[in-house]
Amino acid sequence: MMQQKWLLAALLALAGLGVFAIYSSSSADFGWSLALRQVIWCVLGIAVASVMMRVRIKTLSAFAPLLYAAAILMLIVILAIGRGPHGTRRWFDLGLFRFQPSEVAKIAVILMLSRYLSDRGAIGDSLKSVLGVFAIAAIPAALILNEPDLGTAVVVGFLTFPLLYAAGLDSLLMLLLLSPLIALICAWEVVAWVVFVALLVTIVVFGRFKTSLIALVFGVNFLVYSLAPRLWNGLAPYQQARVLAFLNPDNYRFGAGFQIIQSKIAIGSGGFAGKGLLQGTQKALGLVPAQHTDFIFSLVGEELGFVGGAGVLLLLLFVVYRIYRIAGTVRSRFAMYFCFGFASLILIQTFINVGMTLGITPVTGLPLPFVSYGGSQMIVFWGGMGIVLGSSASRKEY
Amino acid sequence: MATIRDILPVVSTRVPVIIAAGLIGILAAALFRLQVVEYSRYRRLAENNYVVQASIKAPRGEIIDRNGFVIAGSRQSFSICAVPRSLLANDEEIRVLAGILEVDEDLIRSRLEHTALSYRPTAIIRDADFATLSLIEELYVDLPDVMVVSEPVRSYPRGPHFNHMIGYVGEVTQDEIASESGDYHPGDFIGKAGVERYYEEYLRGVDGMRYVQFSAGQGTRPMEVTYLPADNPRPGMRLVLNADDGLQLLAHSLLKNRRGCILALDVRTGGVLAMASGPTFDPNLFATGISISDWSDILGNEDKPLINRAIQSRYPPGSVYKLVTVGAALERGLVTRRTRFKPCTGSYRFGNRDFGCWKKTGHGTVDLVGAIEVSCDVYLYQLAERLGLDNFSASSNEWLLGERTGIDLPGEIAGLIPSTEYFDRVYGKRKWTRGVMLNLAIGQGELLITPLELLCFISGLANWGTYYEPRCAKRVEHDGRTHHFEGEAVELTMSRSTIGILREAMRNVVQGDHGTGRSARQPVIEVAGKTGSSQNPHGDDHASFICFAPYDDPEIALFVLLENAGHGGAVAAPVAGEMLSYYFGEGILQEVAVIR
Repeated sequence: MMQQKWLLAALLALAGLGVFAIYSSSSADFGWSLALRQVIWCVLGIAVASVMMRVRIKTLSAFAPLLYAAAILMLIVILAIGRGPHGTRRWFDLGLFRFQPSEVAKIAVILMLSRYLSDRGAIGDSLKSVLGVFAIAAIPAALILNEPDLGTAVVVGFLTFPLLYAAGLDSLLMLLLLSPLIALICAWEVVAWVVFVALLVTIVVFGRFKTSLIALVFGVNFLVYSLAPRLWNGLAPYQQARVLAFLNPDNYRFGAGFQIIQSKIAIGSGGFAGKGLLQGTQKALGLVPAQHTDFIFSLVGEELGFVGGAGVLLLLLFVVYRIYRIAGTVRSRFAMYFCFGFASLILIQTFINVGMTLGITPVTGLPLPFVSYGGSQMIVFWGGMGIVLGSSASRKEY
Repeated sequence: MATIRDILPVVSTRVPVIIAAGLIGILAAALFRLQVVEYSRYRRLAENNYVVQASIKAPRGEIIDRNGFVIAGSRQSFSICAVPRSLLANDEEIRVLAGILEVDEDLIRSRLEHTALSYRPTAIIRDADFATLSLIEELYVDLPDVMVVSEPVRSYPRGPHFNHMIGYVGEVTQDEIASESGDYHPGDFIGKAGVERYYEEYLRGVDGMRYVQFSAGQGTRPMEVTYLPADNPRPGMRLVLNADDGLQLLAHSLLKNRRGCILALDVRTGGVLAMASGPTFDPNLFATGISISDWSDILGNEDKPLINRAIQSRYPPGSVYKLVTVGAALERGLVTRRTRFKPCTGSYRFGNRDFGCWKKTGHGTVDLVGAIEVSCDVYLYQLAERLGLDNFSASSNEWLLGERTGIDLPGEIAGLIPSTEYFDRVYGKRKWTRGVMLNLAIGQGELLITPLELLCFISGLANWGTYYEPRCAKRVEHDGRTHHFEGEAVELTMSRSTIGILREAMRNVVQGDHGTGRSARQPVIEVAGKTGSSQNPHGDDHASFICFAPYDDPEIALFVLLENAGHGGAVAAPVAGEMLSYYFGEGILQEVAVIR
């Protein structure tokens, strides 16, 4: 572990900041109790990490399918028996804390994808392998979507792209694969749609792909365009409201836009140096909901200002950077894929979470890695770090 | 493995690192824009940002009896709330408020202790009276951080007689906030016992949201913002009980707050018609937060009024249990309905000990049905010798005695059926004699049963082998939809002939010339029952009487237990008789007259 002491220091700094921010946001209602619990989760997480470090990469690779199957089973069980507020089924109530299977599923998907890709050679433009990768992510993503937890499902889906990149997938082909997602955004404006189709045609002309693939990509994109209204209607009313509020928060000032506006005011009024520890006025008014969990960054921004906010972002960037570097140096392909996927997970989740507090991504229930309150996410992210550190320590092993 | 890696290009980490830096850069730029470039705008917005979200409490769902009488409802009450953070910073204001409320200043401070840093209005006094409210209104200039909030409060308009079945509500504790699934906030109310607790998720509504303008200026108070639409609360679901208010009230008044319980089941559905436990207390005491003196009165009461004796107390069942002993012997073919033993002379010699019959002069020679009718102990002692402990406990277990019935109430406990293993464990192997079996056979000794377990067994006899898991709630209704709660059917593995003999014996207990339960007789219908008088270490015998009626086509099963009250036939059976006569018609006319 000592070889990565700066990485470790960055993680501990993030966790420490998290505990402090949780205390600041929850002490009015709960005193020390939530902050203390977070300390316990953090200690437990580090314990899990030090165990995971010692597990051999080959063992992990061998058990990956089993872990993946177990994660899917848990997701099915939670859908069958889960009982949360308003009919949601996101966690098991274990008395002491609420265990979220979808957090474990993220790691399980990365492990399974690592195993799947490391069993194969360079992926090149093998469509079969690409479909395999999508299928591995799609099953848990679909189950999580039903909880419903759109944010986590999207994250699990997005994990496939960095791993496909790491497997050497042709970058133009990657653009083609991403095109249906862009199509979903462009499908609402005729001008955007025309530009999108023109770009697609350009890519296809320069890419020299098989005819069957071209036909498939165009088919899927046009299907997305025609089904877009149906997909929109398939969202729950609160999900629609969040998207609309994201696009135009001022029209939803006291509904779904309330969180976005209040979060922006809290952060903006923090200024360059912040209002000082425990001095947040917006926090004290109870204006920003979920401020110890998903909206924790707005508290950091308000009380510690740009200095603190940018500091948290730099720490997370440093963590992501170090893990990508480890991915570049390990000899085991399985470990390489895992590090690559895990760094990308932290990156994607940071972007969506911090982005929503700043009003540049839609509101979803995703925690900020290593910082937000929550036992499941702390243990899962620290556990993943254990695997990364273990890979780094045994980087000469195949 | 090594070769695969060698032939593959080493993956470049340059591109992902650039993408990561780019994404974090986007966030940092957005952060910079908000906090540095647009700082003054957001600071101004923050200063004027006095609109606070406050919840509107949803009224709990009504609980009504089978006829529609409201057993638990809601009434509007006024709470005096304060904004903790600003009030605690203003000692003068606390002094004024303490003067109006006639309480100690420290009491106000302690009320706000847990939410001291919050701006969310917190209740200081609930259910304030009109005079206090008027004073608050008059002095509002001196009380800028105090507001009056109208909140629904649980009320039990029919008073204490439904207490143990319905339970009560109370303020949610910190532990409950942490452990309950579903979001609770400090100051919310939650079901603490009985139906209120068991059906919490149905009864609890969904709180709404309103917007309160909060101002730090002098002479203005936090007030509701009317130009923003409030998000209305949704009330909890209405829950319909199986119980009958009139029968419950009668049970309550027959108990006269003595220690004991009266329990009535509909044998055809398992519906709980009445469940009274004494002594009781008024659940309205809890509705706005119970006072410390009331609470210590209840806790300090030696008779333990918090216990629901129908499901949370275990008693030696006494002679009522003879039905089980006899049933076990009949099922094994060890006796028939005509079996006679040595005549009863008032006591029975076993080993070197005399076991007495309750009738000191003896019953003479009786057959099996006759032995139940007159409740002869000596007959049962001899039958017990034939049956043996293992058969006795096996049959008890098979008929689910000593097990929770699964009623829809929290905190139900199970009885205790001693077995050979039990005695070996408690006294050591061979450190006990077969004499224990003689006591068990007449429902004494180590045997302990809850009233509900026993009544379920009797319902099974009444219904020729089938009873239903007891249910207090019949259904919930919400937005025109209803959901029914039905107890599952339970089969007693007992032959029809055995059931027939036990039923006939029970009928003779009430209808027979020598029966011990004659005082429960009814004018038209036939009643079948069994009396019990159980010895216990606390004084006089517990008097009990269990029965069902009508004999031919049973509707109701009834259990009356009065602690330390004397003989079952003399004390409990007449009480059961009054319950039956109300149920079968005599009382209904009176009740209708009262309602009009």
